[in-house]
This record gives sequence, structure tokens and C-alpha cells, in this order.
Amino acid sequence: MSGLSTTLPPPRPVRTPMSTAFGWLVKYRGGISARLLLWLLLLYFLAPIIWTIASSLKTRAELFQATPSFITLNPTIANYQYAIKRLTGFDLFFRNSLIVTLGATVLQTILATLAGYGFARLRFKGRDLIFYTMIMLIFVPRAGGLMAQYELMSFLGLRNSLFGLILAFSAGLAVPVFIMRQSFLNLPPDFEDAALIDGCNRFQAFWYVMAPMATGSMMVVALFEFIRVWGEYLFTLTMIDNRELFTLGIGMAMQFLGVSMEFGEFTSYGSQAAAFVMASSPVAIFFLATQRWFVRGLMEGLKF
Amino acid sequence: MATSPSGAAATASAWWQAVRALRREAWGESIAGFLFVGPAVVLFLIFNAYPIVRGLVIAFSDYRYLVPDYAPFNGFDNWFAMANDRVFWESFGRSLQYTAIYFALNFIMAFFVAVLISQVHGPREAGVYRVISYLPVILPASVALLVWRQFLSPEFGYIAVLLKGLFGPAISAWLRDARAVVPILATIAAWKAMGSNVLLLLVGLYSINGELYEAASIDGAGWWKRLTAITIPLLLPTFTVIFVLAAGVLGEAEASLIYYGVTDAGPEGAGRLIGRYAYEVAFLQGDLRWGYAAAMNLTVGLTSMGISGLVFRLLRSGRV
Repeated sequence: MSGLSTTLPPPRPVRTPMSTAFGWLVKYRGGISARLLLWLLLLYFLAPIIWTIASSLKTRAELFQATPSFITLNPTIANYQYAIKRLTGFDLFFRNSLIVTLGATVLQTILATLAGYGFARLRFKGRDLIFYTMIMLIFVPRAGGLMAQYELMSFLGLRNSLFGLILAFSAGLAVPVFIMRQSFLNLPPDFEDAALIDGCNRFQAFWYVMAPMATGSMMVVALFEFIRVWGEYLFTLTMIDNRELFTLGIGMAMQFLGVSMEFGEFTSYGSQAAAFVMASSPVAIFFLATQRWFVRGLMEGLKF
Repeated sequence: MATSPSGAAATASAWWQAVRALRREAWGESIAGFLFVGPAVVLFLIFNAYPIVRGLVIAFSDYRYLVPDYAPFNGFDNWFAMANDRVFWESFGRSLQYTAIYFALNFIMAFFVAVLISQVHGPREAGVYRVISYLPVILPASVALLVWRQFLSPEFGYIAVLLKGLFGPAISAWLRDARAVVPILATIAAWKAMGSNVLLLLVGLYSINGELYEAASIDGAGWWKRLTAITIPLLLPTFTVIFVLAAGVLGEAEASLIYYGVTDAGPEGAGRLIGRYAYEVAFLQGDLRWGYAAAMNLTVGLTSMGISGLVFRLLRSGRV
């Protein structure tokens, strides 16, 4: 009887909900080793990026040191000036990329939102059949690949046209429509019903009540499309022959790989690095500006 | 994704249910409905659905793009040609190797990174790590590949300097070796794609109830037991999603086309993956044998569907 209190085990340390399978690593030396391991793994993601940014800021002497340094000690913007001057058409490529990317992103987000709402909220004949046909085509092998698309774009007179690129890119609607439908399905129907009873028509109920509540998913769709189109290479390369209409991706690859002689020599890797940084900055800025919505939207929209 | 962990099979059965329900469905708000979904559906049909169907037709013909008005149906002749095409088999083998390396890296590393990030308590710190791991995903393909080309360049790339420092000057020749080509390309592709898998795995990890781990550790389960008995089984749906989303890797052509350029297939042609070979047949060689190239694409697509079906079965049976 008297021994009861003394034989009880000491109270267990309080475990936080997140002390998961690797809790031992975090506890070990106050989480230092887990963090070090994580930082080491993250270095794999970051190293080429850091190296490129550092190279773009280095002077000629620093670039050709026997042992290149990881960071630069005397940053200079000479590489950027040189890249803009020598990479003929850089501003043109940049403008083309911007037109195509913004056009495709805006068009696709609008279409996917409208369609997602229609598939989620309206009852009409053939609704599910159309939706599941779109989804099922994701799984059918693309045997035609670029060939069938080349044929189609030539037939429609959309080769060598930025507008053609916008249409073709924004047509990749299966996943965006899926995301938007899912997001409208997750919203409570009461708001919409109230709006309809109060005399809104369908479009007003969509525009004033439902769409504002789905902005998180719209950001996810827009971000995915922006990233995809800004970085696209092979389709653009196949559809565009006219140098005036090159996007940044193919313009740079042509120049740096010496594919085409008309671009002249462009070998200094400091200025190449500067061009890489400039070519990536719009998408990086867009991502950093929207990433807050992105992770949240992904967690809400893609719950499985 | 509510429907896609079960992937193609679930979609197909949902589609078949929709077909059977069609007759019973009321017209309902059809005008409004078609106004909402119409623009998206029309654009999708023209630019997405039509090329898919057209591709299946091309694959069974001897379509040569440069020969005018010539596209005879030839049954399975393209596949007989494929069976005797040494380059096809070599490229296919390289692509299988490429895919294996890509997936091994992606699954294992993305999993470890995601688990470690999920351990971080501060939401701000975790946010920074999530952004870092996602950075390679947002880079344009050509920038990513060209950056790695510099990074790995045998003359003044970092890796070469590091290797020379560690193993002496002879080692950097390895970077030019034909045998290194496929692993290098796969590593770069995995580097670029891993961030989205980390994010998907994190969504899965965050949704696991922490009490499960608590209960397990009270019952005396160690970290390994918790990993294999809780984390991995509960993440299986996420693994399936990753697998489904990456179905195109086997036929991937872009990495090699950017890394070595369109006309050069790398040392001893070792960068000629199957997707690249199909691209060369379709757009660079002879009179552009589109029928043959489409047949190759179809073969690759069906193979990768078969492999994912198999893996899906394995994952599902392991879950019970």
C-alpha cells in the first residue's frame, strides 16, 4: 500500500503531435543532427542555384580561379550588362515569354474556374460523362506526341504564332478543371442557395458568391500553369521557327548550345549565368509572391 | 485527389457509370451548364483530345510526313520493324535505366526530406524549407539543364573541382564517359521534379494524426517500427499519386534534347533515350517516319502504364 506511489514510473515526457517516426533524431542533441541532415539534403536542391547566382556576380578573374569559390567576394553587375548586350534578342525573347505565359495563365484559370463550377454545381445531361472523359484521357498514351499537334497547328495556321501557343498551352485543362471542381465541391452550397433565392442568376451566384471563395485553388491553377508555360521547351521549339517569336527557353538554348551559328559566340559562363538568373526571375518572383496561397490551396484542394 | 489514388482503374469505372447513367439523367440546367463548361471543353477537345486520338491512328500507319498524300494503314508492321531495330532496343534499355534511377532518387530522397521537414516545429522555418525544396521545380527546363551542364562541366564545374580534389585529376574524365550519361540525366531530372513530391508527401504527413505515434511509442514501438507501421502505410496513397503523376518519365525526351542539343546525342549516342529517338525519327531523320515514331510512343506509353499498374497492385496489396 505504502509502496504504491513510489513504484509508479516517472511521468512520461510530453510528446508533441509532430514527434513522428524520426523523433529520435530531433531529440538527439536538441534537434541539431536532424537539422544538419535536412540542411545537407537541402544543399542538393540549392547548390546549383547558389553557384549560378554567385557566378553571375563574379569578375572575370574570380570566374577563372583554379578553385572556384562558392560565393563571390567582389560582386559586379558587368555580366548582366554584357548578357543583355550580347545575347541578341534577349529583350524580345523575354517579351514573347511574358506574353505567352500571362496569356495562357489567365485564359486557363478563367476557363478552368468556369468549367469547375459547372461540373461541381450544375446538374445537366452528360455532365459526369464529359468530366470523366476529360480525366480518363490523362491516362491514354500520347502516341501522336508532338506530331499530331504539329499537324493540327499547321492545319489551323497557328504555327509560328504566339496566339497559337497561348491556345495550345491553356488547353491542358484536365488537371486544372479537376482541381477547380474539387474546390467548388468542398464549398458549402448554402451561400449559393441563399444567393439564388435572393434573385441572383446562376452567373451572378458564381461571380459574386462562389468564385471569391475559391481564390486559393485558382492561385494553385495559375501558379502551375505559369511555371509550366514559362519553362516549356519542346513544344515551343517544334511550333516556332521564326526567330522573332522565340521564347526565352529556346532562345537561350540555341545561343548557348551553338545550335545556330547566326547567334554568334556567347561563351563566358559568367554572362550565361547572368542570363539564367534573368530568365528565371519572373517565375521565381511569381512563385515567392504566391507560395503562401499555393501550399494552403494545395492542402485544401488536393486532400486525398 | 479524391479519385486519383486509385488512378486509371477508378476513373474508368466512374466513366462507365457516367455512360450508363446518361440515359436516366434529366436535362436540368443544360443551357447554363454548357455555357459554363463549353469553352473549356471545346478548347480541350481540339488541342488535347483530338491529338491523342489522331496519334493512335498514326501509330498504325506508314505515315511519312515528307511524302505527300502518303499514309497507308499498315497494321502491326511498325511493331515488326521495331523488333528488328537495334537502336530502338538500346534506347529503350537506357530509358528503363533512366526511369529506375529517377524513381529511386525521387522516392527515397523526397521521402526523407519530407519527413525531416515535417519534424520542424516553427511554421516559418518549415515554410522556408518547403520553398527551397520547390525552387528547382519552378526553374525553366532549359535553365535547369544548362545550369547543370555548367555545374558538371569537366573543365571548371564545381563537381569536377570537387572530384579532382578528392580523387586526383583523372576522375573528371568520368564526367565525359558514355556510361555516366544516363545517371547524370536522371539525377538532373530527379533534382528538378523532387520538390513537388516533397510537397505532396508533406500534405500526407501533416494529415497523419499525431496520436497514432504517441500510442505507438507508449506501446514501446521504436522509430523504425513507427516508420514502417504508421508513416509508410499511411503515405501509400501519396506514393500512388506520385507514381501516377510521373507516368511520362519513361518516354521523356526533353532533358537529353536540351543537355546535348537537338543534333547531338551525347558521347557514343548514350543520351539517346527512347523519347529522344522517337523525336529524331519524327523530326530529323530521312522522310520523317511519323507512323513509326507514333508506334514507338504508343509502346512506351503502354509499357509505363503496365509498370504503374503492377506497382499500384503491389502497393495496394501491401496495405491490407
